Amino acid sequence: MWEMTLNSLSQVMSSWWLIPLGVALGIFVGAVPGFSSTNVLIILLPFTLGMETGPAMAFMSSLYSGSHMGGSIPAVLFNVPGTGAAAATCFDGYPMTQQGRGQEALAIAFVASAIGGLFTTVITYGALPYLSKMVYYFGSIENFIIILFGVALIGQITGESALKGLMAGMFGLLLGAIGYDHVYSVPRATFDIVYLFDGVPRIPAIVGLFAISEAMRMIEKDTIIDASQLSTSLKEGWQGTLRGIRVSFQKIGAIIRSSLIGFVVGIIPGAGATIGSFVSYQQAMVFSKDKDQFGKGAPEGVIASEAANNGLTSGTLIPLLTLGIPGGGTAAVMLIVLQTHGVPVGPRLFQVMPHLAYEVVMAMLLAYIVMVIIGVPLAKSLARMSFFPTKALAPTIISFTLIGSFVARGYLFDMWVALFFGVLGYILKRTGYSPHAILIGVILGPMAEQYFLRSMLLGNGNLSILFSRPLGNFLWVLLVMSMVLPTLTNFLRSRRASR
Amino acid sequence: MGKQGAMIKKIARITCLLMTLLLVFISAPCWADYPSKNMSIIVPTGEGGAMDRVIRAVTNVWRDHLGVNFQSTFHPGASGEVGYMFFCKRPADGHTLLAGNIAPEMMMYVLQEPDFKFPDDFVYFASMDSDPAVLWVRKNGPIQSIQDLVAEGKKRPVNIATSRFPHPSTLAVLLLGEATGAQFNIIPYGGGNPARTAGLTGEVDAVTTFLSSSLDFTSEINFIVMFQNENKWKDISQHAPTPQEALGVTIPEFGGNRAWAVSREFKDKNPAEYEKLVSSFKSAFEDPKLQEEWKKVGMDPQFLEFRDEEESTKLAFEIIETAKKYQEILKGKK
Repeated sequence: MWEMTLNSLSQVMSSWWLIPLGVALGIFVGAVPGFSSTNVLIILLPFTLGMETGPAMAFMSSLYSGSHMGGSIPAVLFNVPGTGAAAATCFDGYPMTQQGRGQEALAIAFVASAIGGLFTTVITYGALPYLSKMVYYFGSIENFIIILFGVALIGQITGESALKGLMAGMFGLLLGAIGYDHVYSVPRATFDIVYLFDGVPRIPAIVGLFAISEAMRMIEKDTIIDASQLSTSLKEGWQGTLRGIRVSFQKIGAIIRSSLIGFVVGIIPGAGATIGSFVSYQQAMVFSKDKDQFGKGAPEGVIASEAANNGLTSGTLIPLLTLGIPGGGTAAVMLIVLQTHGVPVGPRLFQVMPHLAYEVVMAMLLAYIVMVIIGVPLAKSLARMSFFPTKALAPTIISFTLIGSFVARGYLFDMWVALFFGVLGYILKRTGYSPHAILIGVILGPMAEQYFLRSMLLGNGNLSILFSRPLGNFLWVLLVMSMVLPTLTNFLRSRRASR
Repeated sequence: MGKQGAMIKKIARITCLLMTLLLVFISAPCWADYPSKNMSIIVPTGEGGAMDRVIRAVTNVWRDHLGVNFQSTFHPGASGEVGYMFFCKRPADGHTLLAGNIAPEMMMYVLQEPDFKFPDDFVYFASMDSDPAVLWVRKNGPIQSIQDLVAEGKKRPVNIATSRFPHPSTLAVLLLGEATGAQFNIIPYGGGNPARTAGLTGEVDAVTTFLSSSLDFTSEINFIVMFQNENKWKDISQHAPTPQEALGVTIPEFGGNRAWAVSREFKDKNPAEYEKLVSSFKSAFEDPKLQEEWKKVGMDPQFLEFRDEEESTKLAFEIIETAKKYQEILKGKK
């Protein structure tokens, strides 16, 4: 093992410069709404196909890791989640910025990303061939239950009133049902608009609901940051960054737990970072002693989302390297490069080229170390962007997000979708409805439906199929516990207090 | 004033003439020197799949024969309908091609009744491979042969993963079920990768797909039947039997044929340019470099098979007829 470690380290170090390059490009790509690591890796394919396999994979995995961290920057500073994975980061990151704690929030996001990613990458390195077996335990039923953890957030992030929160969530689920159904391809509420055949586009919906609606609200104020906090924030030096680092280390348990959730979700092919970060956020809420602070600027909320979506990156590599199954878009592009270089993916990889798999994981490990070096010192300078006057920020955010909406699929229609969701989000915020609940419905609704229908088909329409697998039943118990326990604990606590 | 006015008029006339000439000059090369710009390819499936790899292999050779580069955009959704709709909306200038798979997409055409018309809106000017539909099981699973599968299907509904309902391999399995009396429960997974994963992890009993897309997993799976009258790919398909050889039943041949399409209007209005497009593809197909590129992207050259427009169109109509005949089955109503 040590020999393998030294060999893979020396191989990766022979083209070390690709790692900071990949990380820096990844952070940039992640920070621009609408761009994703998948899009950019496709654009760069001629470049990576021309490289040797090891360096090409090292570059791609560094870019992939960096993109998840980059996504947190606009999410925290401007409520602009560049990808679905960063949507949950906005829930608490942006309120922290509004309170003048943007620097702290960014430092927390970067440290949680790096530690979460490092932790799961070390696990991946140590147990790569064994972890592949996990893929066999997760099927459609387990995926459906895991998504329900995220959907359960609708009931937990209800905003001002539980009824309004649930209504918003149901509306989101309805919007999520638009498009061709996943089994018989029957169109639903598409109004013959071809752009809706594949459902409501996710990126425009996310940036519209969060970023554009927030930009519209920003205009009502002079700066994002509360007036009472502005002068203090302007004078702040490195204190915010140091506070963020300290908070992150104080909550190291939360980082480990969230990164493990992301890691497990990453191993499941097709699940993806969005599910990982929502499930992790929901679990963080359940375990937190300050549940009421979630959605209002709780550092645990930022940690939950960021540690999960970075913990997920190494998990995604497992089905790709050990079984030859690309779990998502980025892994599919990596598969093209591996196949073009004649690398036998799947179990044969460990017989023919075992060093390659370890080189890829080693590169990811180094990428997370580079991320700390590049990212954390940037928190102070980046946070200063939130001091800009809103009359300059709001139009810039709207322009960038509209471009981002277009870039994701290349349809002008998607810019109109973003504007629609922007206006909708603005009205919702003004009337006390939760745009977060709508977003969860729009994003997770179609995924939940897809896995539910598939489970039903597997069980010939019999609902009992949902309770037929041991791991599935275990997950059901966890789900019920996570929903019941907080209420029960609160009840017992209030009873004890009244005595 | 009179002289000056005449001068101004003269300058205006010359300017108008020059502007007209400039406009003619700008627009003319489109037809005079086809192709005048890079070719755009619309792909009705997602990036990273087999079609993506095939396009990279083919265009790496074709660009030398046509003299321009190719740029792909991916428009997956609604079993390919989204991509075809966008393709049909693009200008009929011959610079936009569609890279599709005739059989699954013509089945989609019959089942989903989209807003485009074949062959009025586009022509498949060439197809480049022939990829048979197969059924496979995982090596360590309880079912190891087509006989086992049929016997099990007579006791209980057997779960079979497919990428989508409108797909030749789905229809092949349903017809096999009709012919043998076995119950096959089709589970569409929305893509080849998730369907294969379900097969490898044991979530389903078997997977039906095209042969080429499962060759990476031959160490873990057994091909148990090939939906052809004769297995022409014996050495790479573990000598999978045909339905006739294994069970004594005859069902139509099913497979996929990746093909190129261009606007019908372009073909009708610009026969010379159309001929240039077709002949450049044919010469690229015959170029020995294509086999190398094909191998580079992990595809087996045994699948390469050229069909011209006439043969491709005939194939498309055969699929349309078959899909119409069995559309009740494919829509899950029977």
